[in-house]
Amino acid sequence: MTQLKQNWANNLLTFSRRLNQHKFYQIIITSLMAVFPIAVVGAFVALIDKTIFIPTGFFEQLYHVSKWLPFYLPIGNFWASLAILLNNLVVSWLTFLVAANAAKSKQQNAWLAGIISSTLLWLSNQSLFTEPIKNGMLQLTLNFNGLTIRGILAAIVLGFFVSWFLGRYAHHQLLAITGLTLVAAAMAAGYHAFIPNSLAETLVAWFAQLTANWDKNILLLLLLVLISNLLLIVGVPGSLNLADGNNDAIFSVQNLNYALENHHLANVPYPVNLHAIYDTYAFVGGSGMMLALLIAIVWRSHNRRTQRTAAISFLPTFFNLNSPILIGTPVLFNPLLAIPFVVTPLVACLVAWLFVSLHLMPAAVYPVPLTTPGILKGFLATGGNWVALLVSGLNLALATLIYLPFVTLNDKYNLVSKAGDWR
Amino acid sequence: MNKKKLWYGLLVLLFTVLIGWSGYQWQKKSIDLQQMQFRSPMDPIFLVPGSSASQNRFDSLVTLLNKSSSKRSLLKVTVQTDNQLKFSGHLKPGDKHPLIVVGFQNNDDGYVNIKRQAKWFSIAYRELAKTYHFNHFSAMGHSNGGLILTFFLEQYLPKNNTIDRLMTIASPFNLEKETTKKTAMLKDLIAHKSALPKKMRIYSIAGTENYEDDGIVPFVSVDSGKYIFQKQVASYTEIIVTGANADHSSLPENQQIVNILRQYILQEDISKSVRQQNEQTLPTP
Repeated sequence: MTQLKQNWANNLLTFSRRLNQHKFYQIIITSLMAVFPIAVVGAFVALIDKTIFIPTGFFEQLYHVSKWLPFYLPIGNFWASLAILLNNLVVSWLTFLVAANAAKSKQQNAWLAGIISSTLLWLSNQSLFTEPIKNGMLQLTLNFNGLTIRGILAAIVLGFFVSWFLGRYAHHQLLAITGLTLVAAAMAAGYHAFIPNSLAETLVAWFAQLTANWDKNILLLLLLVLISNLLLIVGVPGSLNLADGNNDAIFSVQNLNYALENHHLANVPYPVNLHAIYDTYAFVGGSGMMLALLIAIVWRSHNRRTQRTAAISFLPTFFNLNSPILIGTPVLFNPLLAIPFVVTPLVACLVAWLFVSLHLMPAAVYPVPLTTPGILKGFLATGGNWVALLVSGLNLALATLIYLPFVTLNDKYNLVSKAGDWR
Repeated sequence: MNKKKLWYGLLVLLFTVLIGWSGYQWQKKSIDLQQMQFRSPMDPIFLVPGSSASQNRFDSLVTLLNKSSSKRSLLKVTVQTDNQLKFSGHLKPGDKHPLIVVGFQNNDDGYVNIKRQAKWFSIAYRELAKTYHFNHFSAMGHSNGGLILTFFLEQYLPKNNTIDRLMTIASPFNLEKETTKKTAMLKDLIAHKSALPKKMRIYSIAGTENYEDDGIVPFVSVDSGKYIFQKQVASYTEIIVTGANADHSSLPENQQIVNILRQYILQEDISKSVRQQNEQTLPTP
């Protein structure tokens, strides 16, 4: 058994080493690491915005902040705008760094590639072309409204493409830049978004439609969760992660109506659905049970940098905003953490499903605020059921145990030591 | 180092417990609110007869009602003096607005007995609400039936349950006294009026055979309802019916009253001519 485990670990390490020999992979990891600071700032601002200044925020719901905080609306607008701008900067920085690093590795003009790349990303923003120009000024309304950062993969692809394109037409750079700019602008005006971004999201939407009726079956539900989280590892938030804990709205409403009509939670029509199982029990600290990773790191990791990343990311992750830890550890594009990232939500779903199926706990039916700490979701969504709280705790403990060996592995082979430090 | 981690861990745990606890308080209130705002798909219409009348009191009225519209199912409940319920008739599955007559084994008149009947009504109500899953309803009470319903609404209406529309027919809010002096019962009803659901609509109908009464209940007594309902509920409308069949016990079969019942309590899609006739009767809609 230990032999087998050793083999597995070795295979995984060999794979990581091989991957890390590729230039493009190093560029991705280095760039991701470098945007960590802005991701943290963005996450903290988003945390304030999403817990206090939106109607479904956790603290707004619990303490009715809007009722007693003076200037609630203008302050709320400020935080909302800041959150949107900062979190878009994350993607903008990322594409800049990918393009610049790629160009640098080929001894080309790194600054130029970076600037052009982030310019194109900015240009591809749909709203600039679809919103009317007011008073001669452009109204910048950026598209970021969830817990997950979108467009990571799009930013990376764009960065590589721009550096390649500029290298390919090194002798006609001005012409190449003009061409790129015009194409990007035309595409934005026509398609409303940068192609890889819209393509990925179109596919995700199509997939969500295809699988709309899958989720009452636990096996298909697990498959959906698996696919969604596999996508997230390569920077595409799958359909489940885009819903921000509001999957299966229709089933949820029917369950809620039943509960309100009958004053109890036994025999609700859809005890097993994505919201009642995945959103409630497998989203502790956001996708991939990130709070468990965080605990595992703080508990067992010996790497100072990883520890600091986890400590800094704690508060946003506690409220399910996991972009800093995804980017900072990094979890994205990291084969060493990919396995627990997709396995832990599956285990959590299975445990919750088991408890619901055996009627040991009621289904999660009552709506909870968007930013409810993952560990409390089950407890609150069942109207204060202790077994539900126990299951959430059990899931977190199991996930932490699953993450532990991988955290040790990640320590042993630290991608980042090869990729540079952010401090 | 490890000690520091432990302290941080404890702090996080404490924080979690704290917001978990206040989250629990919030959720309890929130579920309550949702339950209050939730309206069940089913809302029956309760018919409560007056004193000395049995659960069969409204049979001819129901026949009249079912003649012109979609057939409503009819359930009759009699509350025994030992709080047991006796059922006859049945509810058709899928009937969202059935008629339920609640009668009492002890159907004697008198202030004390009316209060007892209100209590009995609440037993029947709770049992029916639990069986058929409704949390709102409408009601019609004839004579003392209107008083029973009013007492029920003031003192026994279960939490998160509400009445939408109430019609009282010749209900003597000041008993059978031909006086403006308030009886103990009226004072009791006025004292608890703040417990009445604020959103309910009330139609109080008085019959007149002559200038004073319908043969039994004086007009001033019916009119006393204003001391209970005015400025308490969403709307309170008094309707005076005269002419044929305007004596106390014929009132439930009076065609005008049946029409008013159909339009305002059952909210049926009635013919235009009947609607116009109703609107002439009503001073203000």
